[in-house]
Amino acid sequence: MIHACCAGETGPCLLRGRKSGDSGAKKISLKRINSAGQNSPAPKEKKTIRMRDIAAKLGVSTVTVSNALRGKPGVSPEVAAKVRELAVEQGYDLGRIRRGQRHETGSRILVWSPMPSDDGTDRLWSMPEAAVRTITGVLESNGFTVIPFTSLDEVREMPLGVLLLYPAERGVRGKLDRMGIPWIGIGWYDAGRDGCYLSDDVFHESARMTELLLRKGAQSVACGIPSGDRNPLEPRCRIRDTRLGYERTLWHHLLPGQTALINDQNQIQAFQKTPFPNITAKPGLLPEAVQGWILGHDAYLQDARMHSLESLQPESSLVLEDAAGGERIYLKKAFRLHFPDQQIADRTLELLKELKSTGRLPKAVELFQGVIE
Amino acid sequence: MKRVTQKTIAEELHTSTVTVSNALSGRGGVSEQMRSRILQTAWKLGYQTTAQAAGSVTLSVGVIVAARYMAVGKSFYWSMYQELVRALFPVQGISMLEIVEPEAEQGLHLPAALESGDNNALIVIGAMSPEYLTFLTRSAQIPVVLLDSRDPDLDCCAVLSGNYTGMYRMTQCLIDHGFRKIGFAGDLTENDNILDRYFGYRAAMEDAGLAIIPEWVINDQDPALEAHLPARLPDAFACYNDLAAVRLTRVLSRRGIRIPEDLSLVGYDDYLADDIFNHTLTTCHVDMKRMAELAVQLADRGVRGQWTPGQLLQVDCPMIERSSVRDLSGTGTAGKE
Repeated sequence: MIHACCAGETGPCLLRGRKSGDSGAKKISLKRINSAGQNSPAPKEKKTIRMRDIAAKLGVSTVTVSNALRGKPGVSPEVAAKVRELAVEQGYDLGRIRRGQRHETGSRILVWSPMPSDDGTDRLWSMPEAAVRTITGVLESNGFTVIPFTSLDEVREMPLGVLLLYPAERGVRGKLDRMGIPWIGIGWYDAGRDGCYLSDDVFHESARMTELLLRKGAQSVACGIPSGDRNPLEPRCRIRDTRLGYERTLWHHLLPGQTALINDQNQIQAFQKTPFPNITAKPGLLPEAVQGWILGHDAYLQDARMHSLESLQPESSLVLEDAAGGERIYLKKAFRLHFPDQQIADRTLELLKELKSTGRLPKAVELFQGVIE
Repeated sequence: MKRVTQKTIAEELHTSTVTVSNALSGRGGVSEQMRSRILQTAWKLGYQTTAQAAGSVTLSVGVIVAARYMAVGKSFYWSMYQELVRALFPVQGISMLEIVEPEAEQGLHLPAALESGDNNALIVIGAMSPEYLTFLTRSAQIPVVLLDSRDPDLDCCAVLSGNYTGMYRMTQCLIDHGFRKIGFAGDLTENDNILDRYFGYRAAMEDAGLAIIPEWVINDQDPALEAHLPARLPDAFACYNDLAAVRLTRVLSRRGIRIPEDLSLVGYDDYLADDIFNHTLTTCHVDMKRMAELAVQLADRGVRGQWTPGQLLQVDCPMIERSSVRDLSGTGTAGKE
């Protein structure tokens, strides 16, 4: 392995002169002459990139390129990475490899989830274990090999695809793209960047849960936890969608006598001008303990009980209210929204089957409804 | 799952199987009220007649649309209806379109599509008043599917375009092109789709750390829009749909503001019939074909006794880049990582 790596770095000329790369290089130059002679001032001729082109560029053999792209042993990880990167850069059709490989490596699925942290803070940020089990269970019972991994450096063999479970670091996607490995984001999404995502619909679910609280008679509602909810791994969508869904419901469903707390700078600004005349907003704290909390995660339940309202910053809180009065009913029950495990597992299976036969994944955000209990 | 029989329905409603049988086969001796409760329970529980189980029932869909959406000539919902008719073809279904006048909507009159008893599913295209929708779903004894709108009580199934994620994408496109001062055009009180799109805009702005300036959230339906436009305008507007973008363009042009030289716009729908703007507006493509297919699929399942109430399906919308957004980023490769 080490030897191959050194050769790749120090002796490209030697290799190019000697090995099978030789004939490849000649053919390329012939082709170039032909196309240049035939026509037009078009600066770059569109041509199919072949393995030998990549081999010539990197000064390695086509066998090495082939092995690297197919994830076969005998190539150092460094060279393999270079080959894959160049292949993607040059627009080599990796779908061809995957289509051809269907029977040997076509069922290997890597599942990425971040390392658990030592202080246990990750409890807030991981996908429900049961959901992960359901998804991997469905894949395994359909002939896929599921391999968990925590770092891309561990990737030795080319998988059919990668599942990026929530909370996935955004940077991982770019690396996978450069390696030409298809991925599906699960339990999160990023509408601002093309990709294949399957998630629960946090925005609408949060709106639904808020509506439920208001209908059940909570006179004062709040959302999230007041502080400490920043995590570098968090791809933002879940917390953000929880807050925005909450606010969306307030705009429509706040009833006379009900008050709601807004404790986020962005939201406060937007609330300075609400188009709904029944809502008035004023800075300050809720006069009474909050009766209904919308929380992004089960683990927040404990935090919500612990956090007294004093920890809120008066200047960053805004109380919305409709009219005074109303009976105060403290909600004792926790309504839980269940992650749509089965639907997402079934759809993941469908997508992977599609990937296996076509070499492609659709680029779309697919959102699924959970069940409130 | 246990098979639903006439006995199951009878037990559910505390009545006899004879009554259930009479009601289901249309024989006399059952009050109209009881008959409707039995029919409603039957399909909610997923009761299948022998013909249904054999798959030999023809899907006959009543389709209703509010009159305000059905201008003569081309319109978004006319096209949506065409897609429905096409989607019905493979399942050998038939459909009948009915336009609901404002009086019928306000006065809560049952549409003929339900009253006639000829249809076994109802598809509602576009928004209706919450009162009317609640009234419809309460009185319907057949599965009701909402296309491009949502049920306030969340009982019936709905197919929507990905309003929230779609508008996030469009706003992100403006941000990727270097814009920081971005407004939103749409009437937030009009319907749920617009509100969802507004929140998609909010989410993208928030992720980019950009402020929402309340004056820049404008109502394109405002008859005095021109007078109400703020003196200091943003550099770009995310418009709730393509028509709003066209309206805004006309108003802005009277102030001598050119698109995209002075101000950039993005829309939503990718539907402008024959408008000249059709070829220049960067927008979000609503996949009507897919939405219609899903609506038909839901109705078909309902008729075959495989109904899951409250299902909400969303069809994500890809971006179509045209020329209504200027590139301020200067890199020429906006949006690439």
